This record gives sequence, structure tokens and C-alpha cells, in this order.
Amino acid sequence: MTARQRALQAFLRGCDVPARVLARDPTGASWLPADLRRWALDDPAAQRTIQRFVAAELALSQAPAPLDDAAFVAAVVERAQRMPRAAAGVDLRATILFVANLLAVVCAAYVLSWAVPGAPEVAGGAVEQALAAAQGAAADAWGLLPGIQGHLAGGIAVLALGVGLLLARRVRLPHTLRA
Amino acid sequence: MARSRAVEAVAAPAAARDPSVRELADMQLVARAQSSADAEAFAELVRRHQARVRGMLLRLCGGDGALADDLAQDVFLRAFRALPRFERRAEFGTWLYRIAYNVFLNHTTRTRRFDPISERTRQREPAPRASHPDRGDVRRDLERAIAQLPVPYRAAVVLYYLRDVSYAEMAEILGLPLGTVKTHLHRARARLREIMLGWDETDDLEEATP
Repeated sequence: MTARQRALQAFLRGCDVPARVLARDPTGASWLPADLRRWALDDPAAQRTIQRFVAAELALSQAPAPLDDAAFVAAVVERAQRMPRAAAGVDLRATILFVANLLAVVCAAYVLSWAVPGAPEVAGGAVEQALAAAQGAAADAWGLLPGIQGHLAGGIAVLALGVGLLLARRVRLPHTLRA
Repeated sequence: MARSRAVEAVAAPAAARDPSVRELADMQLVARAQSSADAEAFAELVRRHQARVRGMLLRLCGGDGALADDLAQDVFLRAFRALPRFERRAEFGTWLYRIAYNVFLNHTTRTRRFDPISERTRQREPAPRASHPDRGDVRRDLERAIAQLPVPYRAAVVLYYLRDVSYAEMAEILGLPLGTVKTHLHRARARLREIMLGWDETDDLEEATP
């Protein structure tokens, strides 16, 4: 490949000429650098390269779409009518995300109130009393030691948080797009 | 089985369709489809957007029209299912393009895992060159060249050439920052030209060889 051919290809690779200009002036009289243009006029291979470049750019800028197709629309509508629709405002993944995060917060509060001496009293100790009662009930029911319960609750909190974070990454559904 | 009213309405010529539906804006149609599950409103949305969604998928699928239409049907059915949850904070078209991109991504993930042949078909040879480029050949070569781009570049270049999609909307559809979209687009266009100019070079060399 000659230096001029390389120069032409380098120019075409980087050039940013609007499609309407290419359509009006496919030979490059107004957008090719003068030296390349003069050379291209006498070089059939260069002319072919320019023609193909212009044709590809114009094809790109034209709608590739098939024309309106009533059969396609009818097929979609027919299939849609046999299909159940989501209830408004209910999203399974969002619901799981909410429940997982709620569980994580509850477990974290439980671990904090149980494991940290002098943790601040909430609502006059009502929460602590309720948690202590729940802890006692769990110990009675499952025979667990307080230490095991703490680890268990911590583990559930981490697991729930993990599930919540994992879902949070995937929960950006199209309907949440902002304008 | 008797065809429903909505299907009959869709199959009817434009002049015979309910004019009140045809005159509504997208968001009004969405509201009607959401509130009363108005099938005619949904059908009108499909009719308005199908050409662009199918065109987008046609290019993403490297010119495979049958596959593009299958995926496009899936896009509209997913949209129909999710329509009650569409919050109307984005344009309906942007929402649809995002669903279309997700459907395409799911398809490529599945086919890469289970069907290595489809990867090979992406690498098909371009059409032999004539001295004057034929429109059909150029289009087919373009589709093959687009199919050779990495998926994020491919999506950027396809969306860019859909005339009604802004950079901001492209960023929303692709789930990428605006700067990344512009970089992808710049690189995609350069790569696309490189592929196509490379084919020209090979052909010219073959022509020159006796």
C-alpha cells in the first residue's frame, strides 16, 4: 500500500462528515483534503475506496428497519392477550430486596442490643425488653446458647445484607428509568 | 378461535383503525393501556414502535431478520407484562429500547454458552466487491461489520444511528455513564471503518494479483 493510500484510509477512519453532506457530495469535493482529492481523481482504486466509504456511511444513517408490518403487530397483540400481566406497583425483586434489607436491619439491631454493653436505650427499653423476650423464647424453643444466637443472628444479617446488595445491583428495571 | 377486537383492529388498514387511538401521544396510550388494559392502545404502541425496535435488533443481530423479529416479539411481550409498572419517568421509546437491549444481551449470553456456531457465523466473509458498490451488498457488509464489534460498541453505534435517540437516552438504555457512551461510540465508529476499509484493501490486493 502506498503512502497516499494509507493517508486516505487514515483520513476516512477518523473523518466525521454528516450523512447529508456525503449524500450531496459523494466524491469528496468539499470534505476531502485537497491533496488527497487531486490524487484520488486519477486513481481508480482510491475512487472505489471513497465510493464504498460513502455508501457504507449512507447505509448506516438510513433506517435499517423493515417497513411497518401489520402481521407482526397482530402476532404480538394476539400473544399478549393470552398473557398474564404484572400487578401495578408489585415487583418481586423489589419486594425481596425490601424484606432482605429489613431483616438485615432487625438482625443488626438484635446483635447490637445483645452484644454491646451500654448500647443506647430505644423507646425506654421497650425494644431491648422485646428482644430479650424473643431471645429467651428462642433459647427455650431451640435450646440455643446466647452466644450461638448472636452468631446466628449476625450470620443471618450478613446473608440478608448480601442478598439485598446482590439484588440491588440487578433491580434497575427499565420502568425505574428517569426521564 | 375467533380473533379478538384488538387483533382485528391491528390487522385493519390504517384508515379503518380507531382514529381516537391514532391521535393520542405515547404517554396517553400508555396511561390507557395501564389503567384499563386497553388492548387497542397497546396495539397502537406496538404499531408505532415496532419498526425502530426491529431495526435496532436487526443490526444488533448482524442482519439476521428472523432472529431480530423473534427477539422483537419478546421485547413487546415483556413490555406488555411490565406495562403496569412503567412509571412514565422516561420516554416510552427509551424504555422499549432498554428492554430490547436487555433481551439482546440475554440472547447473546445464552447463545455464547450453548451455541458456539452463532459466534462463528458472526465472522462470515464479506460479499465480493463490484466496481460500483451495490446498495444491498453494502448493507449486508455493514451488518456483518457491525456484528464483529464487541457488544457494547455495537449497541452504541446502532443506537447512535437510530435518529431519535440522544446521547443521554443512549446512556440510560445502555446503563452506562455519558462519557463512556461517547468513548464507546467513537471507538466503535473507528473500528467499523477499519473493518470495512480492511475488506476493501483485501479486495484491491486480490484484484491486483493476476
